[in-house]
This record gives sequence, C-alpha cells and structure tokens, in this order.
Amino acid sequence: MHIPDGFLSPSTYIPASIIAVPLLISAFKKTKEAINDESFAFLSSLSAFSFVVMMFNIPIPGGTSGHAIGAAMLAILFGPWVAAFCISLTLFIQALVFGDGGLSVFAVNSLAMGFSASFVAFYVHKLLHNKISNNIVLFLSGWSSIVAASVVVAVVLGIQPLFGVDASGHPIYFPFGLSVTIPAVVGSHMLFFGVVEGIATMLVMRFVEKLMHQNTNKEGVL
Amino acid sequence: MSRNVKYLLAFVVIAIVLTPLGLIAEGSAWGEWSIAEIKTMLGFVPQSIENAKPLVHVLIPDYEISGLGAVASTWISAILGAVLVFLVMAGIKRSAKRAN
Repeated sequence: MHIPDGFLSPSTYIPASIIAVPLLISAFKKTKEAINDESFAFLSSLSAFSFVVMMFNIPIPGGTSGHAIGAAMLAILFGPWVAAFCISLTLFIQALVFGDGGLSVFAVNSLAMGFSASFVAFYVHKLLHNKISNNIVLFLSGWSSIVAASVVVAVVLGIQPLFGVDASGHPIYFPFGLSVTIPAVVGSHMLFFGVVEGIATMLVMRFVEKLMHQNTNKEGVL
Repeated sequence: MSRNVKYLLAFVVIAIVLTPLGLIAEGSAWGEWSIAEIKTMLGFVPQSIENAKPLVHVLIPDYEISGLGAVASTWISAILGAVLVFLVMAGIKRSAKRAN
C-alpha cells in the first residue's frame, strides 16, 4: 500500500499534504505527552515492530503480495493520535531511507496507513470492548484498521485516471480506475492481509498485556 | 534492564531475524509496480510515473544493498529501520523531559 512517487497527480497529494501537516503536528504533540520512561519501551518497540512487519511480504494468489501494518496495537494501547504518529514515523523512514513509498506522496500514505488505520482500530476497539470476547475484538480492530487503510489507498489510486490523459490518450498518472482498484486493493486486504493483521494484533496484544500485568500490577503503567 | 524491556527487545529481535521470510513473496504489492512491470502490463508507462524522480537520494533502495545478498540486505535494512525508530523516539522522550 506504499504509493510510489509519480503515481498520483499533484491535485491529489498537495491537498493531502495540507490536511496531513496539521494532523501530524497534533499527533507529534500527543506523542510527546504520552512518552515517558515507562511507555518508551512499549512505544518504540511496537513502532519498530511496525517497521519490520511491513517488510514481511506475504504472497497471495494472483502473483501479488502485501503485509500487515501494526497500527491497531499502538492505537489500542496509546490512542489513535500516538499510533498515527508512530506509523507515520515508520513510513517516513521507509520513504526517506529505503524508497518504499514516495516522499512526495508521503502525506497520502500517512493518512491511509497512519491515521485511517489507527482511528478505525481505536474506535472499533472502543465500541466492542467488553461486549464480545477480547480475542475477537482484537482481531476485528486489526482487520478493520488495515481494510480502512486499503479503502483510502484504493480510492486515491482509482480516481487518478480522472486527472488527465496525454496526447496519445494514455493516462498520465495511475492508470486503473475504481472498478479495478477497489476489488484488487480492498478485496485482498479483506481476504488476506486483514486476517494477518487481525491475528498479529491479537497475538502481540496478548503478549503486551501479559508484560503489563507482570509489571507490579499497577494500573497506570502507560 | 527491566524485565519488560528485555522481553520487548527480544520480541523486536525475533521479528528482525524472521524478516528474510518476506523475501519468499516474489510478486510486487498490487499497485507498487516498477516501471518495467507497468510497461509489460500496459504496453506503455504513464508519463508521470515514467518521469518520477525521488525527492532525495535514497540510501538503500528497496531494502537491497548492492554487493550483498538478499538475506543480509534484509537483515541490515530491518536493523537500521528499527534503530532509526528507537533513536527518533529517544529524541522525542528527551525533548519531552526537557520541556517538563
């Protein structure tokens, strides 16, 4: 889901950047408030995990591949703003150092995998928490977070053919419309990567919850 | 080092050790194709994609270090990424402390 440079029209990534910058500033401030000696280990480990898990490409039928994000666990533990900042930091390092995702379209990738995934995970968890089995809640938070990110990416990619064709009638930007991007991107995330994200969220959260309980059982660990 | 920190570090290290498993996937992610792949798919390359230039020089493009094998490149990339994340977070923690 890391959109590369050149795939999007400026009329997409410029407004996206204008929206993302103030959101990132707020997210940074919330992260600064949340970070302390106790939370640091969890925050930085889960952010590093997010970086690593995105390198974990999983092949699916059809010859393509994809990966989990790791936003849901951060959103459940630290809230959606902090999670969005951590994922955006990861995405920024991936774009800057490894060319994974374009730097010019960083705002779009941040809004999709950072903000959309984190906010959806947080609210799904909040809505279902204590209503159904904890494992199912964690799975659904993870699943819905990556599906939400995939919807944003599919829509942003799918509207690119509207932004112009060259003299020979070829699209200038990403060439496939919504009728192709929605099933390809959202479909694959609902069926495959969402399941991976759901299971990963469940397993990592069980592990983190265990650590927190061992930690002298005090309430405000984070 | 507290128990938590030890367990969390072990967790990240295990994840890093396992990253070469991600190399098993041969296909690109849908919509993240290279120019060559797009050319085969469509018979042409959209103008903006063909002319795209990265804004900065990328140190390790596609997590591949020239002269090193895929597995070693992946490990080094994963370690570098994780270390950078830790460093930025440590910087934020320091500046938060100073602000208080």
